Amino acid sequence: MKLMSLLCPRCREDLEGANNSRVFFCRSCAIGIDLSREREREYPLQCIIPEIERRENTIYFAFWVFACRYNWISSTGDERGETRKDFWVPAFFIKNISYFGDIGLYYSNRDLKPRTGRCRNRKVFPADRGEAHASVYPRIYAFSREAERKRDIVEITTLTTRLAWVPFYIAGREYIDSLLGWAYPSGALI
Amino acid sequence: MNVSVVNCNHCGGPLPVVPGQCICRCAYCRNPYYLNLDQPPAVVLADEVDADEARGMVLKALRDPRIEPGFRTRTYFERATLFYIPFIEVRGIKAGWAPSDPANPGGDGYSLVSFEYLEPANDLSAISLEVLDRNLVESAMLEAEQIPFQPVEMRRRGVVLPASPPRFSRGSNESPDFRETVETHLRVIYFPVWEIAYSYRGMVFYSYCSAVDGRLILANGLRNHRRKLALSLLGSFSLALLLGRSVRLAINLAAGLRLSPIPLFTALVLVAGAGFAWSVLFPYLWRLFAFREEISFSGAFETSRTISYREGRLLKFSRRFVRRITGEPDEEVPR
Repeated sequence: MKLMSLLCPRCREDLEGANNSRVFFCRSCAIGIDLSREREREYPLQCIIPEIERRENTIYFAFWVFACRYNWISSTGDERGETRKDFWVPAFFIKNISYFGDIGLYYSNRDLKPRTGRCRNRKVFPADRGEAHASVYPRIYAFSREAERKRDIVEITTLTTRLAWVPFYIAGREYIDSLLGWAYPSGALI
Repeated sequence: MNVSVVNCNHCGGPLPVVPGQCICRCAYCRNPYYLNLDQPPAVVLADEVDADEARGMVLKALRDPRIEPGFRTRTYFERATLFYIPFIEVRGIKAGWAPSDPANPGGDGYSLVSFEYLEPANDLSAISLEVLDRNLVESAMLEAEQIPFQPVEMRRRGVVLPASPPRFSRGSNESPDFRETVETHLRVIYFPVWEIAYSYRGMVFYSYCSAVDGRLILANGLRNHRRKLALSLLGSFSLALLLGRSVRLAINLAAGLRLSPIPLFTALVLVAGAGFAWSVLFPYLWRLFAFREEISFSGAFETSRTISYREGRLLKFSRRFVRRITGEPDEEVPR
């Protein structure tokens, strides 16, 4: 059992998070701290501005954004190349990924370049997926993406890692994505 | 379940470390801490149903036609106990090729699949709740608020069953495929259940209902045997009638033929038949009177067992009769 302080290392404010969180946030310093590993580590935090405006209550969902570079080779072996891409991985565990899919995969496939802005005073959904778990997904996403194009991944390198808060609208029992406008039943995410 | 104490890094004051709680705050300097626990986090489903409502649900269930009519009216409620039953929730994600597309080099079919299952983290046979349906817990998890695990508060309200380590008796819900497990999360979920104890003529019965939404889990009572009794009496009467008609027919036949051995033979056959019928009927009637049958049901599910050997009326009567003859004093039946 290891005891870690829940104060921001920069401003000494209380970090934001719930009981099952693995990643905690400081709004004023715009950082996220992953406590799931043996040693805590800071990551820059960005607040995303909604692409689709709605009037419902809003909650932030945290995502890991991995800027990666990977080399690929076609299945016939005559083509090779290198791709740089941002992979979005939810920093929360999706309960029903089989039925509703992975939001991170949709974001990654659409090459989102959302605008960032100031953090508003909104609730944050507990981020219970640490960097250790999330860092597996860029390879899976890249493999899934390139498999459709009959390509294989040779090597994948993570260049930078950051955290992003994406606003979601709470509409009854659904969470509506403010970037793509898709609705997810709350039971699928929690 | 142990509650250990860790000291605050700032003031040295004791930090209350509660199993399943990752966040705690020093009571003196109010500094927050995160505890990297070795055990899975624990939550409790909020109980919305109180003991009176649970008792009402059980009373409603005892109106079932399968239960003896007098059972409900003569039942005396003994006590209501709140049990917190631990379940281990295993959630995870697997990635890879679909089973229909093995070792596909570069085709489609590569996907992410989530798996999830609930396992009771305790032996539920101790409180006769082996039949607790996982679907009930899963539906309650969708409806109920999930509050942090607070052992002191919960122990004050009811009985907290200890959560044993997960056994992983069930594998993935998928058939063997080419997907690999990417991540697995464990969580302990405490499901609150009301146990209502009530007595009927000295026998104690237990029924269980969910403390989240009041849904009945299992009801126990005495089986309604009046219909069986009526049917068996009707059967005996029909058999007697049939035998009487046969005897009369045989006598008439023997008299008509003027053969002396035939009535004797017929009478013997009839006596043997009557004896056989009685030997078949008697254990059934004996069982009907001397034993009672306890029925446990929940919706369409039903199971029963024979109970109450002591309380069988015929047996009781026969014992009392024997005691009167022998002059032994009546002994108290332990209740």
